[in-house]
Amino acid sequence: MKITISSGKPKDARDVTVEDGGETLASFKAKDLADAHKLLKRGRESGWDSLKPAKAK
Amino acid sequence: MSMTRFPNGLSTRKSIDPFGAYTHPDETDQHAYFNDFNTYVAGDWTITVVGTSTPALTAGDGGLLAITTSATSGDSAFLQKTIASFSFETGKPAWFSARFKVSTLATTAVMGVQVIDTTPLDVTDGIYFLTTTATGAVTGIVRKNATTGSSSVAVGTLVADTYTELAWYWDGKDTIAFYQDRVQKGSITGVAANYLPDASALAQSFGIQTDSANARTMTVDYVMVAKSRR
Repeated sequence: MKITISSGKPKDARDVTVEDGGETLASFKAKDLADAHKLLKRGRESGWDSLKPAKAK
Repeated sequence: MSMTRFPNGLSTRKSIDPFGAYTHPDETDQHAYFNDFNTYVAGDWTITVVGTSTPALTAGDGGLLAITTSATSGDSAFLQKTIASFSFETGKPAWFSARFKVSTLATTAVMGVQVIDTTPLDVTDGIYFLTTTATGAVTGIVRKNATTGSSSVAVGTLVADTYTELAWYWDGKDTIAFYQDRVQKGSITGVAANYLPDASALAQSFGIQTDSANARTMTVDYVMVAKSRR
């Protein structure tokens, strides 16, 4: 599994992609780095289908 | 120096044991993992990247895995073995050792065993080493909770672009000892009651974050983890 978060300052909006075996499991925009980690934690614990993209600032 | 030979075998089991006549120490005594990075399969790892990074084998003696960040401050790349397959408990000693280097000290590096998480620099459960940017100071950490169940000890110092071996030993009773280059640098007691990770599964974890606008590299020679089954 590869999780990719775009570069930026901590408060910058981030693009996040979760891939496994060539399949994209989730792709969303997080409002900042902390939000990216929060959403990834939710996806890991509740399933990637449960992820709802957060609105960017 | 003469060599000690055991042509009839060497056993760790009693004679009445099914493996009593087995001519090697019983491999099932420990659950063990060792990777010398002669080979690397990306699918064996959960890779969390901020920016762009593709960990890859690199030429050099010993089998080497290079993890290079992209060049924005805060960019990082962390690898955690998939699927997590270690837990820790009283009565069962465990061991960890890894040899690696970082290209410069303007980085934060982590190496050890942790619960799988996208923030390996601050996980809730693990026994691991964390380095401090600029100084290269190495801290040994054991925690089952990031605030109330965590303890740490100074272990040593990294030198830029110089390999070091970091190791720890959980005695299965109450103490974790931390080593750098085979020398014990510190220990933490009260582990069983207060700090031993209680997550059901933890994974070999390591990676690097650049703390300046430059690409930085962690080069890993090997990682070894073992836990007694007896």
